[in-house]
Amino acid sequence: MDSLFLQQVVNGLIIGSVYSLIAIGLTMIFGVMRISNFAHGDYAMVGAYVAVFVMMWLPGPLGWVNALLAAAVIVAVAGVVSELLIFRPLLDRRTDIDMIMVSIGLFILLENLAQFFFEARPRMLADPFGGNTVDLGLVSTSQLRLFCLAFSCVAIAGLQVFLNRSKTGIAIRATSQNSRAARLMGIDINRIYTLTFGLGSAMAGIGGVLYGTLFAVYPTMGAIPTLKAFVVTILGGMGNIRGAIFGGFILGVAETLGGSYLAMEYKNAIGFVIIILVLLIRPQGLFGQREGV
Amino acid sequence: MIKKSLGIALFTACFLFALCVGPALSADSVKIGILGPFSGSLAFNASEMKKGMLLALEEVNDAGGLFGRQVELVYGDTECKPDKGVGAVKKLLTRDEVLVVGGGYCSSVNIAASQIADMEKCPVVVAIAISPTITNRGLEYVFRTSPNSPMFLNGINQWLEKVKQAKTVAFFMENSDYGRDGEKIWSELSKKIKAKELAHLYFEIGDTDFTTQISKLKNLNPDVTFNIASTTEAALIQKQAKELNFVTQWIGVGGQFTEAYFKMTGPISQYAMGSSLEPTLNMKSPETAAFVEAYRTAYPDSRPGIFSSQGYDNLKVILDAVQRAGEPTGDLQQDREKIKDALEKTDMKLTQGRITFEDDGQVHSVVPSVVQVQLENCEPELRIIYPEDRATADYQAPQPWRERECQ
Amino acid sequence: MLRIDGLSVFYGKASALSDVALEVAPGELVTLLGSNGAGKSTLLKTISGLLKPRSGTIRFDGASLQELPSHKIVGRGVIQVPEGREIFPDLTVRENLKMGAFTRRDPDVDQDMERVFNLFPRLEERLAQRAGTLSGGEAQMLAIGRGLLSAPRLLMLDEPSLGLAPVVRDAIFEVIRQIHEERGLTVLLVEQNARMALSISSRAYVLENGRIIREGDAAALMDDPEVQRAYLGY
Repeated sequence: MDSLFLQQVVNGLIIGSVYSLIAIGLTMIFGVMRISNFAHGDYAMVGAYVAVFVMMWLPGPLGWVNALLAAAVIVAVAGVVSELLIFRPLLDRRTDIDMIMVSIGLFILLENLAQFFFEARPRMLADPFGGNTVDLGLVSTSQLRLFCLAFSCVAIAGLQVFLNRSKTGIAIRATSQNSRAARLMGIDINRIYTLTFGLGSAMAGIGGVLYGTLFAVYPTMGAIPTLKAFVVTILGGMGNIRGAIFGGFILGVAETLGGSYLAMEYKNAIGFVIIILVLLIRPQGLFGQREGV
Repeated sequence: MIKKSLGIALFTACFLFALCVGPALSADSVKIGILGPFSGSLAFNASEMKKGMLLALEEVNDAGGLFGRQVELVYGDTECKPDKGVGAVKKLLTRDEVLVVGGGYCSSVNIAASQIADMEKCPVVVAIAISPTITNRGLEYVFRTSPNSPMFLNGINQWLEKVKQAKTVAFFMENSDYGRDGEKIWSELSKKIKAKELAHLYFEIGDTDFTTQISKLKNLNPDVTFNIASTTEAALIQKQAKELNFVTQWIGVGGQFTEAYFKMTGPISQYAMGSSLEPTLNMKSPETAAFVEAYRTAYPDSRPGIFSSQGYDNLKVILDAVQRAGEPTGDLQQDREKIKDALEKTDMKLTQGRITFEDDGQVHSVVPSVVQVQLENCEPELRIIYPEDRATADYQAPQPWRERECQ
Repeated sequence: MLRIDGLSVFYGKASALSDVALEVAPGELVTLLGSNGAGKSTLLKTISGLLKPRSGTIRFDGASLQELPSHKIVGRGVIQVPEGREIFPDLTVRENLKMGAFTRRDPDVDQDMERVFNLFPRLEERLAQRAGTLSGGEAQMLAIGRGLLSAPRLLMLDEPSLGLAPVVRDAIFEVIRQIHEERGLTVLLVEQNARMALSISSRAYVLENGRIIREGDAAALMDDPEVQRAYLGY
């Protein structure tokens, strides 16, 4: 195996892990509440700005870890507030299109607020690892990139443990599969909604810090993560958490390998080709077991 | 009843007053239209241009304005989109009735907007957009105060030919007219200097992840990589090249070297090259030194970048032409005609150098220098390395990342 | 124990239940008969709080239920095993059972789990399996087991035999009889299979077009010519 191939796989896994992290929140919220939240990437943007401000006070690795935690908490609160104030009141008398319009409105609002408060200038988060690179023979990368991969995996694994082991976590999955049966189990689905929105947003917030550290932080940065998260979600099956995890890595590697060996101009188009193929061949997604309940 | 009629009377009075005062006020001022992407992703660069313009505006208004009137800038936001730009210029020409249009950042917007201004017989003076098309269509009312892209690249081409003599080159540019124009020019040059073209890679405006392309470039290991990108993308590419341990001689057009770029990259932009008219570099000229001084006083937190000086020069040229055209008569057509005639006779020494227009309305007397990012106490600084008579530093060949002191 | 009076429910403008009165005493097994679309499932959904009534009262142990959200109704011990099982297909059998015990904090859950396994040994064999892969009979066992783990005081079963093979159906009825007779659990049973249902019930109601048209002892209804014609196929 040549070094370019390996290098592209590693690049793909790193960016893919961030895609997964952001897509998990989107797919959870869709699964539980049937909301396609087009503002999801903007929660990532909010998380990235939290990191900008935390790291002004506290630079270096310690500041970065604190930024990740702070972003998770603050964005979770933002998610809960938007669920309670914007989505919840519409939940009973909505159509899917109404919800999509509302989320697009929220996306525009958040972008404009960010532009108003933080100016349009992109900011770079200082590399908490001082830009140290790691040379693994055939593959080079940086400490930061490896840490991003590791942190995404830890966050994803932590969420998986919560969803699979804790009673509340299982209740979230149960609600996503059949909310009426969940109510008959005595699950308070309004609490599940709030919790899911909070958790999903926290994941996006962490993803936003990673995305912002790898790339840059600016008010309109949320659009790309939203787009990628939708590709991943359709790829893995709407509402399917395992699908989102694998889908993120698959998209990341498909983009880097496709960009490298097929045509670089169309690197971004690869996601859309995947969406079209999935919708034609396997509309329930790679990991979806059934049509929507 | 009394209250009501009193209300109506007051309202009428206010209305009449507004009717009299409104036009009187704006007739009093000399109105100049300014186009630019004041919102959207290029807003921070447009604001740099605006800062330079405001300095020029302050100078003239503090000295009593023109013909005893204040000069007023009317902004038209193009968002860097041709359709928005057309709308904005039409509004400036017909609703705001400006005497002349300045500013202008994005090439595709200004190709369209200048055509419209020309049809309306209103002079338009483009500040920043670099596509040669803007001034090579033979439009009588279109001027440009900065070099076009071949002129920008001229110096670098000479340097590559005479000094660097690269054996292998690669191309990595944004998938747009800006990127493809530059690619064409440099591809021709590569053939001329017999350098092998290893790859032509593209990215989309707004992309953030360039690791795929950089990994591929690293595998090919070119001596020189032409990178035509705007500020944000160019900065991200530098950062990711470091993370992937890729070393090459990066050469860009030069427009990426903005304040925002250096804030984003810090020392990792070391060795990157481009063309520049960066005012701080040309401090030897008294006009440039005075501008840098004034800019630093007015905006202590920001550095005077290329767009600020291009904005400043642009408005200075316009103000000078309006002055020489004589006091506006109120006949818009006649006033605009006189300003166009005055513009043709422009001859000023400004921050970028001497500005005169040839028949095509293009400045040919401003010659950009070849610059390289070099470090001073780990802070990035642009230094002129070519042509030799202007050079303030020697060329530094890129070193492997692990041997660089500042990262 | 459960007492419903004057209950009316609408789907938009269409009336689904009108002026329904029904009572279940502690320890009883009451059957609710009715053809498709008669309003049986609507009644159970309303009791569980999934639908809100237009008028009428639902009282459980004297306390009103109709103002409560469904999870609080479950907390009172009013448990429904819904029509079509509605198990969680992507959860394992164990996780499904755990969800049955969602509201419980008492230490008897493990013991109840054992009792469910005694009733349905098949479930114990399939604990780690995805519930979506179970057969129809196993899924019904899981649905009932899940209901039993909710610590029911009143268990409402909606069409438990629907779509099952005769052998499996008999086994399910046997279990219903057992939990009713041996543990004294109060049951409200909705069934299409009137004969089997009446044979294990004490009393029954017949619902048609959203109204109760007959009620009485199971044995008496078994002999009612109208019921015989409509539901027993004589």
